[in-house]
Amino acid sequence: MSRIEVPVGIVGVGLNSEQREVPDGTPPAWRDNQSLAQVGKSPTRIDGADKVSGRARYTADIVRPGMLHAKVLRSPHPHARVHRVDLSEALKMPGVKAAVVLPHLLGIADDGSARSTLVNRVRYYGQPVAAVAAQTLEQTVDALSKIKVDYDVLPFVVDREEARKPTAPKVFEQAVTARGSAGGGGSKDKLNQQGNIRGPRRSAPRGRDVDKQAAQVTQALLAGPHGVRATYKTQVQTHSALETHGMVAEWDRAKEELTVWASTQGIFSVRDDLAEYLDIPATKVRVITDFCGGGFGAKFGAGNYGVLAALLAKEAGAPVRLVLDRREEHLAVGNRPGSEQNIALAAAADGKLTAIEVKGFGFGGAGAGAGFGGPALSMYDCPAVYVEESDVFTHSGPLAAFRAPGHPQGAFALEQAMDELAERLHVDPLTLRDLNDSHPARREERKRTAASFGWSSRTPTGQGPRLGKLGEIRRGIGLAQGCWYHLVNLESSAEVRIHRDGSVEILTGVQDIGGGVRTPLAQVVAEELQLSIDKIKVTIGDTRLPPGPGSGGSVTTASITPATREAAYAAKQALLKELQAVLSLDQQPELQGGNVVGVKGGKPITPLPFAKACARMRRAEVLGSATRQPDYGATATGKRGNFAAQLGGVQMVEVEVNTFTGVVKVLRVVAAHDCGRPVNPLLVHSQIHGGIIQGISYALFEERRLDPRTGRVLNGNFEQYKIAGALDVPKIDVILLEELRGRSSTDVSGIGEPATVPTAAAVANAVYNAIGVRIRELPITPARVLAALASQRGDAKP
Amino acid sequence: MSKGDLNLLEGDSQLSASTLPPSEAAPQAEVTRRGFLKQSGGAASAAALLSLPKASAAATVPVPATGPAQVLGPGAVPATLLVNGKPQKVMIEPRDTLVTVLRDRLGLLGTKLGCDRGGCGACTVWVAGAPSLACMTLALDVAGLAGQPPQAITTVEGLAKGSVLHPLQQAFVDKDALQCGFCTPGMLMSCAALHEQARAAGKLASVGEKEVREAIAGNLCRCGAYPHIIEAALAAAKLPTAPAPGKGGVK
Amino acid sequence: MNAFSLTIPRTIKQALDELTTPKGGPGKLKAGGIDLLDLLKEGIEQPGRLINIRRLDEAPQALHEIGEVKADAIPEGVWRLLPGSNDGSPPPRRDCLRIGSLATLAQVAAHPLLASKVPALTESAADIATPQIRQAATVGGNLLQRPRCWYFRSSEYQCAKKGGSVCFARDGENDFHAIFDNQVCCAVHPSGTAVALTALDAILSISSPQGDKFVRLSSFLVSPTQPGGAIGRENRLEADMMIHAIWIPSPGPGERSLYRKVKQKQSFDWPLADVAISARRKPTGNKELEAVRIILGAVAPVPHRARSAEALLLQSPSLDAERLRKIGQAALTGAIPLSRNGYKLPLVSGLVQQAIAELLS
Repeated sequence: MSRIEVPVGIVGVGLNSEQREVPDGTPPAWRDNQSLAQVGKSPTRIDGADKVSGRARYTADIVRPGMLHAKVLRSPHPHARVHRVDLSEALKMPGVKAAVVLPHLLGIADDGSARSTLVNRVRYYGQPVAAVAAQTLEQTVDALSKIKVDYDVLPFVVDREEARKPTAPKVFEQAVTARGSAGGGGSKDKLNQQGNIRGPRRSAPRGRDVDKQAAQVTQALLAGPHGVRATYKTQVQTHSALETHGMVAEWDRAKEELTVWASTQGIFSVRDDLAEYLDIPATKVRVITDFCGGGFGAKFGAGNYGVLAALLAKEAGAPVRLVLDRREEHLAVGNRPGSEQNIALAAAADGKLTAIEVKGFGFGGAGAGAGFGGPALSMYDCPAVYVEESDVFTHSGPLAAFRAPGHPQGAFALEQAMDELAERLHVDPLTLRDLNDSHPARREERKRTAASFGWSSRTPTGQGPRLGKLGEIRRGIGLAQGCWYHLVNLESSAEVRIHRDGSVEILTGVQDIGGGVRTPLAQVVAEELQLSIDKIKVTIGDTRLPPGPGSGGSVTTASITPATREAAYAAKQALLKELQAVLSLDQQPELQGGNVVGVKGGKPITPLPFAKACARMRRAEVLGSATRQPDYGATATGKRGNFAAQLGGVQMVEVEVNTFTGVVKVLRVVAAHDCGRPVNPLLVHSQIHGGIIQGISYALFEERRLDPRTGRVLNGNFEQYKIAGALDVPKIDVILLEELRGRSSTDVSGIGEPATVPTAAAVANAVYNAIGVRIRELPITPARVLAALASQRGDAKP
Repeated sequence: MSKGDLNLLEGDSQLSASTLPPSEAAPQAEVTRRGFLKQSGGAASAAALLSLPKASAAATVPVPATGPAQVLGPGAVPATLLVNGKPQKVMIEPRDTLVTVLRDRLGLLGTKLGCDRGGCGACTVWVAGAPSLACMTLALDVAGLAGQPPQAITTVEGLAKGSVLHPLQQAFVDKDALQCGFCTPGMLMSCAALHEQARAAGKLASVGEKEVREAIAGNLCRCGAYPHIIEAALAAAKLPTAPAPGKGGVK
Repeated sequence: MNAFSLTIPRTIKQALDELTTPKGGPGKLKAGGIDLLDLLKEGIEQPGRLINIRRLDEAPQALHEIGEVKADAIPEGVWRLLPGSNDGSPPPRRDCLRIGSLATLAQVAAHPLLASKVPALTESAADIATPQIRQAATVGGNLLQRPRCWYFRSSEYQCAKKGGSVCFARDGENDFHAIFDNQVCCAVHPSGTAVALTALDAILSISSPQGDKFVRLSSFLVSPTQPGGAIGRENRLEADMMIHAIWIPSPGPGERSLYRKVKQKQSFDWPLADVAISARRKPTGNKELEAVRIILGAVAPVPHRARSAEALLLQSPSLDAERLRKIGQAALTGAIPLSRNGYKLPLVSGLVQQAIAELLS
């Protein structure tokens, strides 16, 4: 081990130098971005031209010789026992080459039976049962109608209230466990389970005793003197990536090897699932993802559709393309679970929080939907924090991790409660947060956001100007903050090759889901090798490459850029060592200003440009490889008191509410965020825009609708499932902090998740400021706004 | 009915043939063409008196209305599509949508299928220069058939001139107006159509934010790239010498 | 989609003949095809034959074009249905705007003559769906569009409108459904142009094997409970007919119109409610109204005329907040909300007030 100096602090606020103990061979720390040539700059995406020209190939664009088309048969019932699935008639249909029954159901909570037997029970409408592959998609559709399934239809429940009653039909007969994914969802704990309620899971901030915290919270809430309590509800949101889930699977009978092209956020998770479910070694599965049309958390693992595609390919001995349609996408491949949270805050007279309590339920269909306690547990300095949450199962499509799992829900409740408390205390909402959150990044973000937004001009709630011909339009502003975590996936390796012709290649099995990871990888290597990024070829998206992290939990750049820099550093050392030998230098030369400089016989040699230096190599190439090391020092994430491990942001929003029609429009947003060292601010801005826009869409429009009497999804399309479009998007100003922490060789953290955490809460707070009545349920529809205004008028009556 | 009502006559005739009054015999039209006036009566004849924009009248290919109705399919029939300036012979079933034919038969995979119901705009292409939903267009509707020429289809592949990107494509790259890239081809076709129409009207430089937002209101971007897309569209409009697009350009 | 044949007639007569020919089963007319393809893809409609009237050789102008026809040239069928004079004498001939039924919504929305004469119509057309859809969808097709009720649009619900026995929405998820006339089928009429055109007193000319027919739009669109109505359809178009053109009496001096729509989101959304108002001021020069029509959309199986509100509005030109509120309230006369659409009451009332204030103040 050796020690290095690292800069720590927020650029523009103050940087300190700290020491870190690091493994030998670790490259020296970079100073701030201003001192760097490539990192912290905003070159355009190196694959931008592929995407704008239509050349970029997504999974649905893969065409293989003799490829068949496949489609999934889904349960028309929300709850039924499956006695028999008869494929024989389907197999006789024209063009049909294979038909299979789904062997085991993935993606739902696990009652112990799912993995061992053929699917014998359906627990949600749209649950996959079987699949057919045929020469044309039309033939496949015709064949599906010939599959005979004997269903024994059972009573079901999709209503949140009904599901909690002891008499409700049970989704699971036995206690279940649930796999988590990408920083969210699920719990392997053996929790108490009664009827459809599993839990509660009790939690307190890390390092604190849960029982003691619970007692302290109870005491503080009783003592007051200032407290608020209310219940908040959030809806089910579907990921709705524009590219649906899909896979092209090709089975090589001779080699017994499977090659798949998958629309995925994690090629290695797909590989491992397929190896497991087809019972073949991981070495016999290759997964390729050149481009992925969005995932937002729902595209990890092979998925039921992927297992079906692989089985069909194996049975047919031909490549099979199985791409879900838009409706299937809304039914069966994940969603952000709904929540119902009762939150109580207490504060002393000076405004300092004395207690935060959250108790509630998560509704993840046939999966475990709780997990909204994150913001309450980690955002504020509060001596007593206690969270109690339970999963409530219903007969509906299961959740999947969705951009900052649990956190938009949690922030929606917590950040409105903070505003309510501020009002109770007669302090400005911004001041209350300053009083209770000492995180240096959040503090700086509040300061900069407020200045840019003009927070000080906020009018008291309900007293803003009345616009419109009839004074029916009111404006309001609101703020909220959110948190996420500096998470790292250590299974992140990269290889960097420097070729004799001076070209450089990066190989790593990461994949791009839209963040544009190819470009920051090129920047990092260009920085290390003092090259321009056009000299660097980036190859990703193939499990034959060194393993890269799954793209979820905002881990991608934080995980893979340090490994890549270190690989480049190692390759550089190898090159320099080689040059020392070839050029008979006194010692290992150095790379300075793009040139190799060294000393021979006590005299400096003529500086050699990089390419010319490479040409002197005796070998065709040198390479370096590296695997992500744990963060320098502690690797704890999300630990309260360990500021460096928390990411977050502050958003301020202005809305306009039409009090006659209930329509809410977001006019502008100012958002300040931190993500460690931003490698490419342009791309980071894009992701922040995306998080905010998804947040606005979540706040105002989106909701998966189920028919309570049939358990079916009513709006499985883009017409009635409403997503914000260009006319719903406000002006967005982004303030990006450069917060150095001295944790890795690139000191990068993520941005995908934190950008969407506070938005819905900020919108809700702004709506309150506009109309003076609080809306505690998402989405904030005209119906809810009008109901709230009506109740307000009712309250005002003598 | 209130006294000041806009004179709504109650009890319009039933639509059944027996009770509806026959229309007046066709008055002598200033312009008479073909024999259809006698068949169609007053409604059609009156059209002859309209002050008509000239362009659309000129665009019609006169074909004598004498032959029988053509019946195509239900099986595949040979047809010609004019895609990116190139006529392409292809077998098309009546139920085939344009997006299917472009992607699966012609291998033009740049055009994406996002929802197959016209709800996301990922499949947007130009038909005769206007942004159109390839998923909601029957391919035979735009194909060349006996007596009728094909309509010009432009896909994202036809936007660039060889390896030189259309100014909008370049602006999309420069402003990072994309993330996952799946909506990008459709988004580009909507933006580029706005540009080409504005250019044709000599108003390219004055394309404003509101027009851009409206032009892409039918294109869903789930990644939320809108702010940069709008920036790109505005920036490209301001370019001094934006060249005309590639093959299959806009009217 | 099921397989079908595509018939391309050359003339309107051929198109109508094809509709009634027994060979190959009943056919469906296809114009822009937007709604039809939706229905085909969902399996709600499974015709064996489509008859494509988008590419008729004959009369493309008559079917596509928009313009004004002088009073002496309007067909008698239109003349008979024009607004009458107040003293009960036969209606005077007057100039009419004429829109071919195959004119696209984009053409209607962008038409300068329509924009200056009947802004309610251009505003309604411009606010429908998306630019791409407006490019393809025709105004005739928009008038004939089937309801967007999510039970109706799902092949999994054999609802009353599709020949079943139940209206699933009545006691189900009915947020977007009717508050008027909702006892039989509570799906709302989806057409924005129908709302505007009803307010503008539009007349349809309809081609049929027996010659042209003429009908007011307000009597063409029928709810299941109205005379001539049936639960399976939203209008009185028979299987052998097609809409040929839309005629609108050209507004005279003092006549104005407007259309406003409330959408939850502003990019591609259906109205929660919409309204079109046409009004004529008395020539006296004070602001008194001579005539007014207030037509509400997305609240009933057909565009709904708010007669009580009209009457109240005609009583006095004063538009202070209290009177507006009363007029807004009057627009709700007869409304019976369902379990989940009570919000439409204040929304419609508010929308009517905003629209009146904008049009008349």
